[in-house]
Amino acid sequence: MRKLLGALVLASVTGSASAAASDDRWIHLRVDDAGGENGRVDIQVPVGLVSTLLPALKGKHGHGAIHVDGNEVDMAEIRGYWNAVRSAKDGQYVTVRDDDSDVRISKSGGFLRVTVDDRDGGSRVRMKMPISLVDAVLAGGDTLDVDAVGAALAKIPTGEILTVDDEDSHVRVWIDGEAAPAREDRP
Amino acid sequence: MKSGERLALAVILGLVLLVGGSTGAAAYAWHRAGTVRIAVHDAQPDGSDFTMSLPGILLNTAIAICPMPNDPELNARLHEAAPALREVTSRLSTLPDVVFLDVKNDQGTIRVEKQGADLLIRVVSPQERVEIAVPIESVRKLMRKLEV
Repeated sequence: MRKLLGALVLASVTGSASAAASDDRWIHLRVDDAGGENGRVDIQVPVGLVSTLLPALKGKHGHGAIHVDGNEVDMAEIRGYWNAVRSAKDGQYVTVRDDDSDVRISKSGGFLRVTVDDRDGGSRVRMKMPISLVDAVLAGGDTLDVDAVGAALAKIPTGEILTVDDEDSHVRVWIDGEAAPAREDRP
Repeated sequence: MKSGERLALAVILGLVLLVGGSTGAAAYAWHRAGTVRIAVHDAQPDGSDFTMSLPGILLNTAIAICPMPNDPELNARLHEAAPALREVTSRLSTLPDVVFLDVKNDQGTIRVEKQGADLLIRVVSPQERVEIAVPIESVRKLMRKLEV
């Protein structure tokens, strides 16, 4: 479960950053309750619009470490792992199998792919992140280099960034060329 | 036509042009400023409805003349965030009609969308329904004011 949360934290950092390209594409976040409660969250914002907000985050949220499942993860340690993966050839680099889940981290075709499958079939995470974006997110020393993230996002291709399916919810983050219509006409 | 009559005619025409031009400009400004609308519908059996529509030009005037809060900490925060928010509101005006945020759960629905020249916020719960429509131009003016 900790790995799942770790993957989610990384996805949220990069996902929020993925809104920083200066173009007219849209970034979408869709969360659906899976428990039959019909709850949902739909957010869609032009990538370029969010990129204008990123500078306002400078110096506010760029410091510190990421907290995963109540434990602090050292950013320097994460960067170390990332540098090792980044400089290596394409392939599957991390495979963790324990009683709870299977975690696989691989690099191929310019993307970092993270796959997490709970053993009991409850949770399923699929993350596909451009390597240039992960580079930018992790390149800023103890701070998030917003400008680098913005520049990396200008090159991010359209498509899925993250999908998470578990027993509670379905989460999907993607970028495409147009805004999606509301799922209900009027609340 | 005598010279006095010509002078009177010129004065009258000038006045007509002045009044007509001013009225047209005021009407254009009124129309362009849009309308601020707040509607609250209480869904209880003895509930009431409240709807208020204000010309946006009044809101814009209020934004222009209202003093800034005299709180250094708040002002510093506003000053820091205002340029980005102003840029966002500027971009909003060029976007198509779209739903930015749509949240639904057992307690109700929250929706934020752009509809025409307005930013529309709808909060719907089993007890009540609230709709607030604010012209994006007014939001932009507010952001400019905060930036100053």
